[in-house]
Amino acid sequence: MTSPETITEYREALVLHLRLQEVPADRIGEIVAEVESHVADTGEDPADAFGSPRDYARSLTDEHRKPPWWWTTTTLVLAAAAGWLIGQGAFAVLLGEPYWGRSGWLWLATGVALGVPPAYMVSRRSQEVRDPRTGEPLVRTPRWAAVGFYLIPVAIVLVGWVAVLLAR
Amino acid sequence: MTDDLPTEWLRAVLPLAVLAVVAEEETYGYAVAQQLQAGGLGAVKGGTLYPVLNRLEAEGLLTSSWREGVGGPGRKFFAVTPAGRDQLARRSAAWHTFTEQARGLLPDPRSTR
Repeated sequence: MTSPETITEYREALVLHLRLQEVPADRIGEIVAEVESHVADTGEDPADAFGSPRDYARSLTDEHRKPPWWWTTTTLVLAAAAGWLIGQGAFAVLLGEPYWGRSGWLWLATGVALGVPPAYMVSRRSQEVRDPRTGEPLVRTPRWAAVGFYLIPVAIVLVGWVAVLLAR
Repeated sequence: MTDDLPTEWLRAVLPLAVLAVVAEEETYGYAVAQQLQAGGLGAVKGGTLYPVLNRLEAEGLLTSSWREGVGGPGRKFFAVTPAGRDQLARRSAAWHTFTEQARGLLPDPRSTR
């Protein structure tokens, strides 16, 4: 009989590798539940029945094609541009000065608009994986992770603003 | 008997064999694996079986639903669709024709020639 620790380790690794293959959260839940349900019947070690989590996730690429490289690149470029414009816009607003001859609010709004597609991609990728048998989350995500993701850029802008004010 | 079967043969016949097992009655993965083994196809691992089941479902030949287990985790049950039955009938007929033709080309092991 396979130990619960082995099952948990396999589950966590499989979720990670399926995420890396950009498999949607609901499909990840199905795939993981299939593995666990099967080994509960057979008593096998999941790695014996399905192969390593990495190999099994990769074997499913026929079913779930990864987005092309240019899609990921475009998302990263948009995210970087959005971050830069939001930062510059926020500084301009906080300092009450224009940036490149335009109001900080304009840059801020442009940055937010450019950030919508990458933000959608990030939220889709970080969607919680639920067990289709129980509806419960399969892997616990620390609550501080999402908060940290949004607080860090805000903190950088605020620290920069305070530094500029002090320097003056 | 199954020890000598090349894996390409198993890969070719597995989707049809899985469809045939599910068409017999609504069933779940482990039971399908047992039926395949009893039918002489050897031990089919979960890592081979579930992608086939999911592909058949994606093609609209099977449907699935989770059911609660007795004192254990739920099981995913698979059932054949009308399109699946239709596909099974057509592909089975084609498979029999194919194997008959291949048999005509191959030497008969019982022959003394």
